[in-house]
Amino acid sequence: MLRFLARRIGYLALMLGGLVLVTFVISNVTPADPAALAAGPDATPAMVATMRQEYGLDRPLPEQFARYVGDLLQGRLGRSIQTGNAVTEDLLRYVPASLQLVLLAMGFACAVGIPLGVLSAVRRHSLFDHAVRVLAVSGVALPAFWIALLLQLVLAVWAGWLPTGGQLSIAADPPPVLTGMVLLDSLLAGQWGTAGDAAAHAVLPAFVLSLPCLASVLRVNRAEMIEVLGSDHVTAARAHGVAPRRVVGLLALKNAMLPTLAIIGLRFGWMLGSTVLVETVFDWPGLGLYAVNAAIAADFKPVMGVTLTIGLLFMLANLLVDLAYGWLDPRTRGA
Amino acid sequence: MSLLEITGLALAFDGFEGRAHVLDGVSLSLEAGESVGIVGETGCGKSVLARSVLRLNPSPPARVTGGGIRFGGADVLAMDAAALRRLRGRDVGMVFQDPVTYLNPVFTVGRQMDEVIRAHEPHLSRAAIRARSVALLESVRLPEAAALLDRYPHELSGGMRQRVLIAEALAGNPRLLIADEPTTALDVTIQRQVLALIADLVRRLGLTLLLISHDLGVIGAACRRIVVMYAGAIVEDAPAEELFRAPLHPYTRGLLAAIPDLAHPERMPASIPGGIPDLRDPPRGCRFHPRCPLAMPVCSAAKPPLDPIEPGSCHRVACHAVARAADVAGAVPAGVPA
Amino acid sequence: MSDAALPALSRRARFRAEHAGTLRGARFFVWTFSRSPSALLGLALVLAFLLLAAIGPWIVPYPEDARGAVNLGRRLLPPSAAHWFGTDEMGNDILTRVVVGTRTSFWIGLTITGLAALVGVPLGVAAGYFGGRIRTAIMRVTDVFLAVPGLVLALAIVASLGPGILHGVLALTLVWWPGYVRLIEAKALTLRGESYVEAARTMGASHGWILARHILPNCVSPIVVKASMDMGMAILAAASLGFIGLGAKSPAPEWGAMISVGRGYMPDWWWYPAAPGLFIFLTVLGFNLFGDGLRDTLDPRSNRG
Repeated sequence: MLRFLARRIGYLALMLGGLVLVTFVISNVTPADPAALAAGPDATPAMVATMRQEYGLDRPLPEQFARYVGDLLQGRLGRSIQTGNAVTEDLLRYVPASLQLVLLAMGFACAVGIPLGVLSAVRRHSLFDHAVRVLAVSGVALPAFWIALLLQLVLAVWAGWLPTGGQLSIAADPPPVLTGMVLLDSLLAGQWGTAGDAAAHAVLPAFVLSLPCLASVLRVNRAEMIEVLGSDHVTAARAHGVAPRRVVGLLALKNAMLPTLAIIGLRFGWMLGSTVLVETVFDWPGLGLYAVNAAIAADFKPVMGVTLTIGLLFMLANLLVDLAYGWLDPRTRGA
Repeated sequence: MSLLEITGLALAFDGFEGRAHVLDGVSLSLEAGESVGIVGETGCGKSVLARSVLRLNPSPPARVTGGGIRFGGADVLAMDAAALRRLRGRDVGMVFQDPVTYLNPVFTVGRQMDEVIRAHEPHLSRAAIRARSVALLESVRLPEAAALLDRYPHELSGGMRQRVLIAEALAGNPRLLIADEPTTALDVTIQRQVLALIADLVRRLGLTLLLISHDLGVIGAACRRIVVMYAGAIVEDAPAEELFRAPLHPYTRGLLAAIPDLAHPERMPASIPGGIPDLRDPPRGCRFHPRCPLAMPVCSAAKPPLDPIEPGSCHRVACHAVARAADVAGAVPAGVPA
Repeated sequence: MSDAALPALSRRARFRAEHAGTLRGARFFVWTFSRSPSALLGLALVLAFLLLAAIGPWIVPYPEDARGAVNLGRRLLPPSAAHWFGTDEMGNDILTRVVVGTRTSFWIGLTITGLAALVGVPLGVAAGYFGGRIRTAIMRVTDVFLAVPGLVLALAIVASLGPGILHGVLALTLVWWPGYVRLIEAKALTLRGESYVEAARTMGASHGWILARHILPNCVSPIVVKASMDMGMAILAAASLGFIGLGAKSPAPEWGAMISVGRGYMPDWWWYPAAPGLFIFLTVLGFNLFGDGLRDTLDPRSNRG
């Protein structure tokens, strides 16, 4: 197991290295002149030249790359023109907010998707099954930003049941910064009022974020359950008189969870990407909003920083999925 | 009262290109203590028949179109879910063909046995269940039973897995054991061991056995009574030694003639001309008549009833020609030395 | 009996006999596909979408709005009989703009999917078939691209290149091609291990011949399934970029951009984003259902979400 882990971490490092190279290439193919942008719109050519020298933009590319990597290893990701802060600083502030949303969304998607998938497989061809399948297909096809706007309009603006955006109401008492995740922090600190407020703010964005994942988990789990329920060992268990609930809920489900787990890992990535859209609609101060604002302003450093961070998070998630796979399926442990 | 009574069971499968009539009015009775073997080629419906006893055929696309099944007097086809659960495992145990696919790959042997035992005795303690699992594994002659409980199926050999399946089938102390091709997926050397094990268990536990195979040798070794099936119908049903000594149905005779003679290795075994019929559009009347050397006009018009050859005999044959009695001995399928 | 005796009949009968296998396969395909109501719905949606893309500009109620006419007298009107989805800030009929946008979205989806497949499939085949170092190199690069969620990478690329439809399409193509490599590499690898390929090699067949005759034809069905689903997802991704403000820009009739503009007029003129979003949804839904139906028909055993 340890060897497996070591190998995977090594591979992860390699992928991260590749990603660093890719971000470097991306930043360098820009038609815009980063030095001119950094210098600002009123800069004279002399100032731009100075900027260029300061950023090392007049050095040959391989040297620039080496410098880039060196900076990265020291945790220096540049400075954001928009916020004025070091990108690293901004990232550390925004990662927990996005993480909170993603974890909530993922939790919801699994808590609802897996049982519904099982029920749907057991009650195949029923009305329930058809309804579930429609939900599953729609969930993936719904444009996240559109459904976000609609829900925001109906539930927040018209009905007033939920807040329209942000993480906390202005009036709320902010919790101490323990993990950076507002909801968790307020719960840990025992600030129930704040927790309730944070929860209310998180409902819509987390729900919208969860929909494609919910749909995928539902589909895959249902399909896998259908296949497993038709398998020989399930027939054998039934023949031996094992109660249907245990056949389905335990014996069959554990088999079906394997591909479901794989899809969860994949969807995690999608979810991270979708934060860009959802956070924009709900003004949620996370990585996505940070990246969008930077991208529109042609502020490259934050965009690259976010790309690397999200890439790293995704790789870690995949690693976890791989480990869980090994744990769930004893046949892969030998490998 | 017979332990298992199947009367006129007809079953069909709905598929892409039509409805296949897999069972065509099968009637069979088993008394307690009997060892009966059902033999027939692939596709004759023997496995479907066996699964019907426990209603294991997936219900679309399979559909019972006639007849009934009674176990210990109770109507199996009409049973509710609870009664069916009691039937499965507690009254009737089933051993399957390929232990690779019939054992759950992601649970240990112990965990799976745990589930099966718990299904019928839910109030046993963990220790009691474990003790029972060990006892069961020992009864199927698996060494180091306690260590085996923590193994996964893919870590066991084929023969060991099959024994585990047998142990699971016996976990509920059933009265009837149905073994569906229990040796087909095993090496020849292991086959004998497993067969001997089944025969021994049947004797020791006083079980009624219904053994299904396409291999006459396997059936002959373990069963006192043999039932021959062809294309969804029973064609002959006789005590084993009588069947081997004097087979009456042309299909049975063809089957026996196809066995190579070790004493005369130079002789080619005979084959039955033609092929099994398409069950979506089976031949009218007797389903064997297109391939039968004894076919008469009545054979394509009416299905021959499965009747005893003499009143009171336990040897039944479904053949118009045989029923017409007289001298059939002269007309044997081509290729068989007289 | 000469063949000339009944020429027409015997030719058709001969065709039927020769291609019996394929004909049966085709009939099975149609039978299976039509048994799924969702697949048929998908097909219907896709066909409707294609129709709109083809003849949309000619059947819209307000053709001059399609070209961005300015008609401030009727700006921001709510939905009514005259304007089913209301009008936008320029006074254009939203339904008209959305229908015209169908063509835009269609070519965006087609370009992204087509280019991605064009790049990804050969790479995938090379990786799966030739194996060894070629495979390692290709798969490593593919894995790097797949390590980042697509929308984020596309965002980064467009941020660098600058906003605009073309840059958006380019960015998304770069994000999309690795998916094809992964898919085809697995398939080619499996196919390479087939006994008939081995037999062909021992008979001296060249790589090119094997690729053309055995490998590529068997790759067609997974490609077709993936391409169908990708059309919808690519359109959605492009619209997402448009929504953020990095894709198409107004007054181009791109659905995502329209929602982006419409957002600025919410909640008072709330109907603005309704139509474009609905069209995105129906389009993606159509392609997804269609692709699903294709997959269930062509390869019923595979399970992917």
